[in-house]
Amino acid sequence: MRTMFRKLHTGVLATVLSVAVVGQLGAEADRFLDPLKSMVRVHATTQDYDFQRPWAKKASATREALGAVVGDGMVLVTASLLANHTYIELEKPMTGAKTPAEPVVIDYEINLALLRPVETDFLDGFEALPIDETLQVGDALDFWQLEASGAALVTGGMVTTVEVSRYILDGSSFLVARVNAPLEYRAGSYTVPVVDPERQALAGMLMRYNPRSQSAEVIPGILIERFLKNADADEYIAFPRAGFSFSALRDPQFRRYLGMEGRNGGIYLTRVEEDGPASRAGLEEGDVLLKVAGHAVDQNGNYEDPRFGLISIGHLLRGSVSSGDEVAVRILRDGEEKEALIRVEPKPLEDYVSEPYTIDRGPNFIVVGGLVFQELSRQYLQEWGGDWRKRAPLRLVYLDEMQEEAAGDREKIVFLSNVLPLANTIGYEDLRHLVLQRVNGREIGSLAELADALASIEADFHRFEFDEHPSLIILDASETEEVNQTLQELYGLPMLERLE
Amino acid sequence: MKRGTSIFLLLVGAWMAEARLPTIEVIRENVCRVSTTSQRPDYQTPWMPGDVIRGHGAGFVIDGKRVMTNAHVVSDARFITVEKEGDPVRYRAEVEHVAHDADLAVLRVEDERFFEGSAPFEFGGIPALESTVSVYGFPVGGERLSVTRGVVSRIDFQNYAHSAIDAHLVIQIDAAINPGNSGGPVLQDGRVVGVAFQGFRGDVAQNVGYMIPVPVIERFLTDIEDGYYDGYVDLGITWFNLQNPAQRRALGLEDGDGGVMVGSVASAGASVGVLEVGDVLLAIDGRPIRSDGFVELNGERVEMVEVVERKFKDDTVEFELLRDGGRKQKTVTLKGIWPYNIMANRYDALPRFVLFGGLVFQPLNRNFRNAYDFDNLLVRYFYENFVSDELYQDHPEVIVLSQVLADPVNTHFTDFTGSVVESINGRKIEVLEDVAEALSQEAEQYVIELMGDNRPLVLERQAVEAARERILQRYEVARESHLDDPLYPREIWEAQE
Repeated sequence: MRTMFRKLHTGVLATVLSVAVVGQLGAEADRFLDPLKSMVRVHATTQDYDFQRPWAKKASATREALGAVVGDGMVLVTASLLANHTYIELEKPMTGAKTPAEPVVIDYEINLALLRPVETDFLDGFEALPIDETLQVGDALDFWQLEASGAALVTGGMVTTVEVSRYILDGSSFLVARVNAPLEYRAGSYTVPVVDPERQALAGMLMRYNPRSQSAEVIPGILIERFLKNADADEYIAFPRAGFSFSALRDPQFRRYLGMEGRNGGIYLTRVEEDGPASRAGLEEGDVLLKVAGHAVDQNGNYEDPRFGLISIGHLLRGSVSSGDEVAVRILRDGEEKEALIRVEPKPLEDYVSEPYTIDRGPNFIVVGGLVFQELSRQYLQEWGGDWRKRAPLRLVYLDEMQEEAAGDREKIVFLSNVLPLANTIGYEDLRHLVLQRVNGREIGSLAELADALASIEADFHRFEFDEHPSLIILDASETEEVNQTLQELYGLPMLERLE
Repeated sequence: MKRGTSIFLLLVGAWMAEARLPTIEVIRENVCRVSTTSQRPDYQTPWMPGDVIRGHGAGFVIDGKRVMTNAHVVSDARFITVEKEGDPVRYRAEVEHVAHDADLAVLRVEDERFFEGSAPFEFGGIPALESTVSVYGFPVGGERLSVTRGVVSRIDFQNYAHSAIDAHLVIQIDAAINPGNSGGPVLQDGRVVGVAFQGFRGDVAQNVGYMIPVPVIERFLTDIEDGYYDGYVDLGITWFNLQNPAQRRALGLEDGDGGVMVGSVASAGASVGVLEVGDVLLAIDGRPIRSDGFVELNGERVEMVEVVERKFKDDTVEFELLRDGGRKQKTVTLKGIWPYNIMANRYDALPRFVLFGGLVFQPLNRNFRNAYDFDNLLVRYFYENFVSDELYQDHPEVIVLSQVLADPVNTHFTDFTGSVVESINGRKIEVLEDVAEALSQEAEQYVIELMGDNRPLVLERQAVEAARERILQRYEVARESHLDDPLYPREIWEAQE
């Protein structure tokens, strides 16, 4: 891996020189894109939901970014800019004219979003950037920023590596171009367009920047183009997935055990998601994956891409395909090679037991007589901060991790998140993070089922059963309505439930 | 007239106290220094006997030519001596009984001459709040016997740091108890009212010392009368205070009544098959249980668990309870609850392990966790929920691949340390003996399955055999397994065989 890196580096220097020359020639020959006519300022005011107090929102904050004008009057930004947005505004660099904007599509997995100004003629006179998909190691790229005065600030950089790496969500890895560039700090640079000066087109969008190493992580044009294509459909189509995880196959003893003497490469499937694309294609845990889309898979799970070199097969299964595409794979099982077609598809958020992220939507919850119930989600656990895996309640972290096995027949895991102290919750105040099993004798597999069990069962008491101590708590059914009202006044709750 | 009487009474009081106070000579004959050389095993090198540590505490002569001290003064001891101030001889002593759950030990001294001149102290009761006590011992800051005085400031249920999981009655005094005081007697009016055992570390409190009170000491002495220390017993349930009005009504209780609800019943505990989740416990041994879990004992309001604290293995507890609206009498025969012990500090036992092909397999317990500090989610989950989720049912021991002694045979395994072992060659791993058995079978290769999304680890027999001597020599491993001293009851394993 390390020697590979060095080789690439020497290659880079040679290419850069030639690119620089070409760039200058181009400057004389063609007209240049004008940053001030293809870029707008984007002000996004956001307000996160408070998962600890599911009826409340946290303080608002404003992030400022630079969006690229693309397509027919739309503005491209990173999705993370808009997470839990309440108000979005576009501003022209030179005149400072502003207009509200609405998101057309936001995809947090690929971390891209499209905005459209409310004033339809706001972008008249602007030039949409064409998308360049040809980015590769060694390319020289320009980062577009704005001075406070509105003048353009263009910083050059060079692509050093292209690899599949983590985006902003756990489990979302796509192609990333790392660009070495000495970016200067300017306000309003949350998202920055990255342009190929030679091809005069948008080569990528800046996702992260490390000022110490001067290393920029850029979402490459090839993914932007696919995102725009997905957004063009009547209903946005998310990026697909194959639904398996794997382990490298470097260990010779393990290779012999799998009957792989005399073979090269291959990876071992450690987990095939139940009813996921790979599972539907007949793949099983323990299979060895030899080929994906005609490319031989090496022992680390990489393949030789004609443009990017050695990169993860994740690109073939997620980034370079659209939902519904069939990807041919070859596997080895019990010494025999088999062919299969994986029809890659996205996994809708609602299909997860514990949602991997909850953005632009508040947590679902029910307050009943002072008891607060929620559905387990990753976002809830992330309220414990960056090291939530260590700090959040262990049982809930475990259930999130083991969600498929742990949920059994249940659609969701409903738990008591906290208790609002009041006369009728005396003795219950310290209870929290208890997983709800049954209410009034009925199994609970979602908040909707909880609401139903509370509403439809005639009883003097509501009996809540948990899977651990104290196992059972009881509320007076005739009081809950009245108590809910008292609670709402006393604690100033804007609402008593959210079931979306 | 009145005034005169009261002065007289005071004088008598003073005189009586004077008569009971032992002279410093008596104290010198009864209080001794306990010097211990111990060897504490290192769970990261479980094949080694451990570091040699020297330390000392205090002890005192009790009835039957015995010396009482703290368990932590003599834990993991290899060699113990006791010395009295007035006697130049260092007498060899041995542990006769040790209670790690109560931090107490009784030592035997072979040489009778040690006891010459000693007149064992008598035990008193629980000293009153605000009364003064004297602490004797050999704390840091000098060599000779030291005396400190303090006021009894709190009598409470508290954790015993030695085992880390036990809580019993503790008396807090405002005299500093420092290292070297441990095991020394605390006297009031010439009687022992406690054994000094732990202090308060940290900046937030000063001059806080704790002593083990007489009820705990007497329980220990009674327990060992049959020559064996069984230890504390437990109901093996959790209970939930019934302070919520709706819950009380739903369970058929009046407002003023007492009662607590059984919240869980441990399968490995004493109450399984007798008490059920949802039972309302109304009285324990005829004492009404209040809705906050307190009962009245000897005129004091104490936690219900105090009733069990004074009992012994195979003693019974009578409950009056409410189940499905009807009153019932139930008898629980008490015993310990072994699964808790994986969270207790372990002493006087060598670490269990199996070494194979450079892979070290060890059962999960407190000492293990402290030594390795794995943050693997499964390891944390198994440790924290071993009792509450009854994980011991399937895994009396949770076996972890703790380390890989690097060698060509295992060079691709280093990423897997900290994983829980699921099976070896198809054999489910429930206790460490399963590992030893599975790896002693003749097989061409050993396939080790780990929990979670891991690939199997495969070791070829020939490669392991070729590596064996090399690994033992390179890492100076004295032995390849230790299968004694399990925490789980052996019957479980033997019943399976």
